[in-house]
Amino acid sequence: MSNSSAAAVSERSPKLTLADRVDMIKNNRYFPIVFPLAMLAFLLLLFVALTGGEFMKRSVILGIFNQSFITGTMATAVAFIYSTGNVDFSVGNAMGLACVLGALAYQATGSMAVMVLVTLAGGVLLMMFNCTLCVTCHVKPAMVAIVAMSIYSAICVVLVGAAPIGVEYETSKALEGVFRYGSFLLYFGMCLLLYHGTAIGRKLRFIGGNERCAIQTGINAVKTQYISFLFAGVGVGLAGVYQTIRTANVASTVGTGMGTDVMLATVLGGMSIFGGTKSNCFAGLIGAITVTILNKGLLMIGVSSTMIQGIRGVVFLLLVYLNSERQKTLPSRQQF
Amino acid sequence: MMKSSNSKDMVSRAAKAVAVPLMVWAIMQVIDMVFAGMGVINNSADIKTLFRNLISSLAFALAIGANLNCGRMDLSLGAQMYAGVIFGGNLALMLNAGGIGVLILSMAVGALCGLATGFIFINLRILPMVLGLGMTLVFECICFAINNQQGVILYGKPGVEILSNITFIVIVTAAIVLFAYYFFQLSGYGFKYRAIQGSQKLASDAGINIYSNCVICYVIAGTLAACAGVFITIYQGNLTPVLGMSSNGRVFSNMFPMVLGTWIGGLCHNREGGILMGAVTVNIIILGLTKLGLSNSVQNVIIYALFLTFVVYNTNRSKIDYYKARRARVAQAQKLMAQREAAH
Repeated sequence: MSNSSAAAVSERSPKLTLADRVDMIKNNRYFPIVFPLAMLAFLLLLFVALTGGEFMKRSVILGIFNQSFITGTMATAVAFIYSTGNVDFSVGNAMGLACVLGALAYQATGSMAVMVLVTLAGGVLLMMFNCTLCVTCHVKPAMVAIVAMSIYSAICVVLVGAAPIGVEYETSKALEGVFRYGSFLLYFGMCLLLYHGTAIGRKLRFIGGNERCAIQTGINAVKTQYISFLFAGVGVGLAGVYQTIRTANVASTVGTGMGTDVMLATVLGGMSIFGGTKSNCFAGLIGAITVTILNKGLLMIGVSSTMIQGIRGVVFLLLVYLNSERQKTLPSRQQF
Repeated sequence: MMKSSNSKDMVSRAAKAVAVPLMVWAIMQVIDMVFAGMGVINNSADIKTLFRNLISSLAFALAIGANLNCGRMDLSLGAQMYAGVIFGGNLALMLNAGGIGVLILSMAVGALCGLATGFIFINLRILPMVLGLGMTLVFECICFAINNQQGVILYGKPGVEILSNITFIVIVTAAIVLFAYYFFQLSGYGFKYRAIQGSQKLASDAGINIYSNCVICYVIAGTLAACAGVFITIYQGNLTPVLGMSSNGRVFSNMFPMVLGTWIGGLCHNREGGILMGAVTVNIIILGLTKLGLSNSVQNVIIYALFLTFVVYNTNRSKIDYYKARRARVAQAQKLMAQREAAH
């Protein structure tokens, strides 16, 4: 091609504005993966610089890891639910009630193994109950979440009362080692495999993207959503076990507010809480670590915990804005 | 003839609206008489408690419904309530403006919070529930930071006793319902609001400014939430700021009156009147459960279990109606066949 014809083609081609270029970057398939990781790295470097290297101390890193463990497990679990477009923020209270049931089982039997099994089973059953309300009874997920979190927290208060239920301290601390890391790695690996390597994950994302279309292509949406809640339930139960062995007791307020923390972690991890094709199951873990780094870093540079909440709110809104497509009209969703 | 049919229609609608709280009162009355040996409403203190709780749950339910009916769930309403009452209440106390001053200034600050939320919503255009979570974090932080984390204390403050006066509460309750009815049903704004409720896209294409309508809706919601907050505060004596999205609990606890009220509103073709009746119904249940000597937690379990049952019924009502109609058709057909066989 000659220089003149190349120049003519160049003149005819549309000029890209800055907004177009930003949209191109945002719509790149790797953006949801790279952006949260880049932000995590940026925050890490920022706080290392601001604290003069104190932030990289072993105790601090271990603290971050321990704090993000429970939220990360829960966020990995709810990725299965969020993928289908169901927003369930009652998972924190479901985890709380599972912990209470486990602790009561320990009180009755004196066995930590029973406590672990009952907590796991409790998590699964409670999430299946939520699923039945959403999928079989057709109640909108947001409404289910509101009712479920209120009922679960009230039941926790009724069952626990004023004094927390204690579990065996030595065994709890022992379980914090190999059991915790092993079970988490097993669960996380299984989630990764199922979500990104099997038809289940593809079906979940398809349903989240367009449920009607998914059903018309022969996908059993009810069955797939039950599977998603089942895996979420296992994660909720596991997080409940981690929560119980971390503190060696269960108070009536356990899990309160964690549902929104999980949502925050999911969004910060780069996943839409309304599911779809760009969903992934590791976003929650990245988000949970990011939130913990943000909290810990701000605390270490002397920001008060009250201000940290405000900063988290602003960061949350900013990231959601950057991660979502701007609609021509106002976004709305029928809630009931 | 026409007039008579209209008045009959009005009476029928009013009867439908009142029937639900009356039925619930009758049921609770029987339960309380059997298990506690006393009625739901025994003395003037019970009436006072009922009205005090009614006004706060009514105002909050109307605030939630304002946005929810357009598909926007604003979870930051609880935090807006805290911000409105803490800022407005303290300002009014500083100015010695008395109870009415507390109410007006709190509502004004609530309106400002709603304006800020609405303005951010129409500009960022992120999902309302997600925006609500972010705004809750921000508002709670602001509330906690001011007044040395003390919130607002109305107990023992001069001039605020009017807020506990039953006559004043009844007047404000009536004013809220009439204002909401006029604003959402009779005014030009309400006409556009209902058009948007039907289809946002069509309303926008028809020339309705969906953005200003939305911001006004947020302002009204913030104002009503702050109004509810003032009566909650005067009942408790103070309002302490909260963190960690605890303010969302206020939204969740007032969802039942809102959802039940919307259903009653559908029966009597008057959403605001329906929400009033929904709030009355839920508060009668709460009062009845209190008479049984149940703890708050047990009461919550019962209330939310009832809420859940109602939501499941409401969502699947059309299916239930369909199965009822089918059963009636089958029964009619069987009867007809039996008659034919008998004739032969």
